[in-house]
Amino acid sequence: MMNNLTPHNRGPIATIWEILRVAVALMRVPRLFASLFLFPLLVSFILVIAQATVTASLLNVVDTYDSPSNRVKMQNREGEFVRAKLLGSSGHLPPITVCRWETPSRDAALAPAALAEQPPSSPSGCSLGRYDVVLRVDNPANFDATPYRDRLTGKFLKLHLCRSCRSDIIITPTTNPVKAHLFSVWGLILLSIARRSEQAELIASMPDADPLSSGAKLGKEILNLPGLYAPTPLSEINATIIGILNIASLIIIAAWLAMKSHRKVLDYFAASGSLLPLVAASGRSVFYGSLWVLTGARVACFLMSSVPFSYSVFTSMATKHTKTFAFGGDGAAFGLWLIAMTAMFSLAGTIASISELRTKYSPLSFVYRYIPFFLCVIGGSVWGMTLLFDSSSAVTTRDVIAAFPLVGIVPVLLAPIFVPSDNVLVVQSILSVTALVFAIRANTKWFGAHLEEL
Amino acid sequence: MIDEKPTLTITASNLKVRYNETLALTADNAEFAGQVVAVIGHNGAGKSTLIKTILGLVRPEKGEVRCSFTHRGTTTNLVPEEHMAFCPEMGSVFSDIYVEDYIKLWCRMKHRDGLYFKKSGAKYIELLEMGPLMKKRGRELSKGQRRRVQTTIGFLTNPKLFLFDEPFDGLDIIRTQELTDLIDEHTKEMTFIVSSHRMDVMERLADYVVVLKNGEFVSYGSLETVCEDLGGATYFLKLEAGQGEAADALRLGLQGCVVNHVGSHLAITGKGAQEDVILGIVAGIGGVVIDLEKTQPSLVDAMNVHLKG
Repeated sequence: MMNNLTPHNRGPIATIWEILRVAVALMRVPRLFASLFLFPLLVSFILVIAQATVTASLLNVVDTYDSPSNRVKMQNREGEFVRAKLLGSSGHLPPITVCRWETPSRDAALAPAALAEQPPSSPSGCSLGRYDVVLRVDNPANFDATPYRDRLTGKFLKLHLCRSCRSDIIITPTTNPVKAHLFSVWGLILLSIARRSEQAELIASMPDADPLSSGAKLGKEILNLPGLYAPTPLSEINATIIGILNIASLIIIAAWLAMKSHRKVLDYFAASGSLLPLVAASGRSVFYGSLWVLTGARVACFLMSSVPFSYSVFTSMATKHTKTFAFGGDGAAFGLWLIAMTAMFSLAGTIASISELRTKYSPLSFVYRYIPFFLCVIGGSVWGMTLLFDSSSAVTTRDVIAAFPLVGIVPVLLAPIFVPSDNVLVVQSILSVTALVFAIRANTKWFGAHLEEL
Repeated sequence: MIDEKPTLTITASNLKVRYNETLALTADNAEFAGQVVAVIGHNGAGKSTLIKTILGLVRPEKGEVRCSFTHRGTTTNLVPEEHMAFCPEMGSVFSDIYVEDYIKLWCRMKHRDGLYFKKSGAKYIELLEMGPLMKKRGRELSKGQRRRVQTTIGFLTNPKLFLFDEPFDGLDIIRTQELTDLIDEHTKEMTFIVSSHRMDVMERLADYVVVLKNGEFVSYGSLETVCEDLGGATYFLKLEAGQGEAADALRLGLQGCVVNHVGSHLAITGKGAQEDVILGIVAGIGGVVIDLEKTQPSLVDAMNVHLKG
């Protein structure tokens, strides 16, 4: 008589139940609970608190360093080189030329093209330069430009008042608040120098004056670099940086908990000699499944405890800058960014882990864990350089770097500030997940196996 | 007739187990059957690999190994997680937890009752003298004690097949005897696979022997079959005088045979050992034979001959 007792015929529900049962059995051993669950969780939570504390301290330092008196010192150093390069003189420029653009009357015009706004013939030399300041107003002829002329004279060559003309620096004085749209990094630098210079002069002449209210005339700076999907409000950048640091640290720690910590658990079992008997007694899929359940539980508990904490840190630290984190409140874009970040950091963590494990007998094994970091630094440097250029090839290079796993870590990390198109984040997510699956499948034994198989 | 003791049948078909480039175990078709199956061979012969393959811990590149258990007319296909227990060479227990907690973990996993070892399983705690170890942590145990813990756990899971990897390594004569007695007592309800270098123990314990060499099954069958297969025959020779000189001459004249002093006799084992050849060599050195008796070789001698060849 043949009795076929075959647990392999167990259905998926029974298998899941068995996996959970083994996971719970492991957790009920107090020491295992501490080693497998509590300790990594505590370490992670301490890391999050440390990260938040360091971020807060850094921001305080930045705020102090960025005080008006410090800006005065910095202005002299920065200004000379850039202004000499872009405006032809590192010192005080001649008095600014105010150019009020004109629209020919309908009666005088014969063709529609002739109706376009044009620079005035007087004063002379009112042709539009890339680094001139444009004031976008409805009525260029009558707008009182005196406050701008006074503030910008000596810092820019020309001030254009027009309805639709365009340079790299466009201020909209009639909006509330006033906005300064900047279409290149160089435009941003020139306006920042002018703003700091103006504040320095104000402080020198009237020590009690409020430099921020004075600077408000020049508007909230909004960066509109070519190739970026959305403008970047630079006045809110501190809050965004806090948010990025918080979210990135959460993802990195969660990835560590999921992978590095999982490998450590396997090593812990193997070192005791318990791994093989336990795997044999439960079945490979059930036992390794139960370890993954514990890993998932660790990550879930970590996120449940640290996300509210990080959120409260973010809101308390960010309120003085802004209440909006990024992507202008676009939930879908934010979600896409989170997916890209998770995929990207998971891949980086996996590759660092595999690289180290595969070279575990090499004295330089610790070097290999930094491979993703090196790639990230190289990619980030090249990407940063492309921000200085507005050619289409620079834009393409920037997008390719941002879409490519590992080398695109910096641009994706900074995506809330320098917003790429959704396609870039989608491609980055797909490529990272694909590479992650490939890396795990090709290296299964380094993650889900007993050490004797290595 | 219905058998009283269970029988284990192991079937290997088209088996190939590889570690990276190294072929660790291979067999076209082989079937073994016994109550206590001894797996013997040199270091790296594939003994542990065979055990791990049976347990599903190592996946064959090709083919499979199946085990079935026949008892009182019923045959059950054995599945590792349901029917097998395993005690590795180093034993097992986490270094930082108490033995009692570790045993509780196993009882929860296998019986859904953490206190099983205090109920139906209490006999094993007593039998293996686990009481003094229960409040010790893993790191406080010797290698032998760690193995005793895992052996206790194995019996607590009531397996149909208990696999031991080198269980006698480092055990003194008393502990060795205790373990062989324990295994022997349980052959009424369980079957065993035991890998070991201790041929003397295996000879007393096993009713079926599998010999591995470089990953291949070179011989298998009952003890007698394997000993004869590998060792041919053993002749016990007693001379009037000059045993040392005779031993040297026999070693020289019988290539591939093993010649040992056993008390007042010389034991000559090997496939080339023939009565007339032995007598011829002895006569050649002027020796006078008092006694010459042919017997079945011991497993130790058979393995010596085999490995020497």
